[in-house]
Amino acid sequence: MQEGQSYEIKQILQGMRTDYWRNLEAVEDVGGGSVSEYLVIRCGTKRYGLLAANCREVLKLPRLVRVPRLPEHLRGIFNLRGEIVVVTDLCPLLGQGAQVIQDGFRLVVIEAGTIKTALLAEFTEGLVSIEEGQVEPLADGSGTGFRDLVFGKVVQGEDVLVLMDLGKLLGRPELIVDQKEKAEVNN
Amino acid sequence: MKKSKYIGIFIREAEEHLEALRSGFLCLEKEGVSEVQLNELLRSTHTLKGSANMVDLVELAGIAHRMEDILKGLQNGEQEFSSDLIDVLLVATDAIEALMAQAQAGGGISVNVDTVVKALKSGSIAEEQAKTEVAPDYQGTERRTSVRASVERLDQLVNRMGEILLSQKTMAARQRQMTDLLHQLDSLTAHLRVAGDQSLQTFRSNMLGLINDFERDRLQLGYQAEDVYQRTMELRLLPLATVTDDFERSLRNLARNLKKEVNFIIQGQDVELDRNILDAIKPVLLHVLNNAIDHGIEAPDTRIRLAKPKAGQITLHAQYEGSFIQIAVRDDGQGLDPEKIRSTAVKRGILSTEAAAGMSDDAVIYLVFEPGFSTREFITDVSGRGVGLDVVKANLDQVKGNFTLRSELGVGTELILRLPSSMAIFTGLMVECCGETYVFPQHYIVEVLRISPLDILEEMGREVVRLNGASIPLNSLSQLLEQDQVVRVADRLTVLVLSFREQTIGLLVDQTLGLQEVVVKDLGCQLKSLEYFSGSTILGEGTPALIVSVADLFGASQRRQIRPLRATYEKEQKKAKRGRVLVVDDSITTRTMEKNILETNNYEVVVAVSGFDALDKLNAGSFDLMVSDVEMPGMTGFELTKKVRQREDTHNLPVIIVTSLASDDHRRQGMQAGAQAYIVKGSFKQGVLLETVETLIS
Repeated sequence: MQEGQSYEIKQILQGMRTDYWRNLEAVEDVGGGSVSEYLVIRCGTKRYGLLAANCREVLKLPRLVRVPRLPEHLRGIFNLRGEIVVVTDLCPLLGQGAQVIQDGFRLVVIEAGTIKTALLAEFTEGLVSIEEGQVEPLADGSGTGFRDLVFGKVVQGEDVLVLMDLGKLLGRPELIVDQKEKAEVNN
Repeated sequence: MKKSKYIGIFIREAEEHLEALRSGFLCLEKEGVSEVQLNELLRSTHTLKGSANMVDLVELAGIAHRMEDILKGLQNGEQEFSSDLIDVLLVATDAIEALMAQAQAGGGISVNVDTVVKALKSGSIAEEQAKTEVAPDYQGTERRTSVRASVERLDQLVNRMGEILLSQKTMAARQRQMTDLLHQLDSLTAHLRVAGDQSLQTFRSNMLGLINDFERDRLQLGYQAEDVYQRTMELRLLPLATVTDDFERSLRNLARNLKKEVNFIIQGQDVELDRNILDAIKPVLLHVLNNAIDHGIEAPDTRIRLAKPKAGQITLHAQYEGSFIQIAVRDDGQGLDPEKIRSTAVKRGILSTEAAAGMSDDAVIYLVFEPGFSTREFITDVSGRGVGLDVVKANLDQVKGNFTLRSELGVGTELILRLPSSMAIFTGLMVECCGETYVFPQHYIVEVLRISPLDILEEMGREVVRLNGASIPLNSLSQLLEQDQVVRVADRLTVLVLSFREQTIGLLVDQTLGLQEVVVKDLGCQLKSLEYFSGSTILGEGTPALIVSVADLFGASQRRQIRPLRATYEKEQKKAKRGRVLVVDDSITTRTMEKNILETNNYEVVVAVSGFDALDKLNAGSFDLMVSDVEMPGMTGFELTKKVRQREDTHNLPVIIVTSLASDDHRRQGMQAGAQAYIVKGSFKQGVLLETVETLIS
């Protein structure tokens, strides 16, 4: 123990007690639904937050098999432990050009309702907790065509994180391919 | 005695007797009354009666008793045999079955025992009474001896087993790595001169032992996994009898209603098929059989007039054919009338009068399977399903089945279905196209051709290839799939010859990669249907591959115009085959530069570092042109050129001298040696070399 420093054991215990109660309150806040965890990914030039409850796993990019005549945002299929899963590129759906796949890209397997897909991501940043109060609506005029797919945005310093509504995303008809049904309708 | 305790035992026993009674009654009708058969039937009814009384199932015993009376009457000649009597007996067996279900489940099923007994007494049963006695959905003792498993759950099991088999393959690779490490250790110890060290020797020996043990365990795991995999796959298979059992009775009723006489023979009921395939083919078979009775088999008096046996004959014959199942349905009825089909097809707008007239009789009969062909002549509602013969086409496409139809007017009709035994597993040909692997079910493939672009001919505006004296329309898989393809140039092109409903097409692909057993998977929740693919599979290395829907390809092949194939290939080939050039120079810089210039312009280039090396290269292969330096060690370019001129095989080979020797004298020497062109390096320009090469080669 250095000279001039003194321990006040009661003070330390009090500090620990205060921390303990503060943590407990924080947990209660989460349970109350005001804080949610999001997995942050980067696609193209933007950062997106995916509600962690809908994320199943993050994978290194396996070899994708191209499926002829699919729309631009469906990049191919891969084998997920014996199950065929489609790789979806968020960018074309959100008005950006398709991503150019490179080494180091990741797949985030997401699931909502009966649909499971793997989102193509340049990289994943990890989980963040976001309080409901931090979420702002998208600026007027932005997000045309896909405003319904996002909960809103969170401004973090100079960065903007767009929070995706995966339930709505996976409910979009563009994610389902039914070429034979379409052919019959056209006939 | 607590009777309920014995109900289960009785039910199991009674089921066997019921089965024997049903088939026995039908046999009586088909083959006539025989003493042996009657004795068998009497034994069953007698046992049923006795056992039912033992467990207090008095009504059931009563019915069995009346059945016994009838059979005894038949035996001693007091009872007259008739088809009506068989009807009554069959209704009585249904009633017994219903009573068994009632006894087991307790209540809920009403059987009018009095009506049945009355019918048994009178020897005939009114139609409406018969209908009230339809057997309930009863599964007997199966409830206790088997469990239900959803196909989805079986698929999950199959998936997991597939993954275990893949892991086993990965383990084999790991084993090879370990063995390699051991070899590295050997060379390391030799290098360090510690090979004789006893402790190292022991370590090595222990390591080797471990690798061997690992191999044994891995193989053992592999065998077990393979076995479980096969057994899981087999769980999906059921015998054909599960669908045909009901046929005999319904066809018999239909024939009677239509006042026709038909002998229905089923062979190969024990052939096993995937349950999904059975579900798909049941309506197909039922429809075809109903059609055969309704429209194929003539009325008895007509048959007699035509000198045919009074009773028509319909056979359903199933058999294994390699990994396929073939089911043939034949009848000896009046056959299909091609003329009538032609006129109906025209009337229905399915094709023009000219097109109809241009079709052969063999081809025209397939029109009955076209949607919208429904006519009174070919479609029947006797099955009560309200579907046309297009159900055959639709359902067979669904299970990747193929079929052929043959008919001879006045003689009969034959429909042969060719089905995979399992929808879950089949043998497929792996095919590469535009960098991806696709799977074609083997049973659609007639053969694989290797052709030259010159073998592609044009007939009536379509490109075709000739096979066994016939022209086959040619198409390209990459074009049908709308893939941006860099045309692969090769001397030989690979063509799959595919057959579907007796039509044949050729399909150009990049290459074939061999046959393989494939496990069928669906395309996942996002890809509900794809126009040219029916499913997917996982290849050995764990990558998915799409399974091609041949039915869709045939449809598209008829609809879509594609770019001319021969012209495309010839153009590409010409471009790629601009020539093979030998570049000789002792300077690596010059060699590399010349090589790059020529290769960029689609010439194939081989380099040599000296005159001697050049002669070796000329011996090893043929060239269209030689580019040579002059000043090289051992042999000058002039000497080399002279030798080239002296050789018989290279006598006419154009030679270009590229040198820094710029004097006229040197130029003359070059010409005298036999060179066609002389380029001085100082004034060397890419364009000059290319122009000269192009001029001399062309």
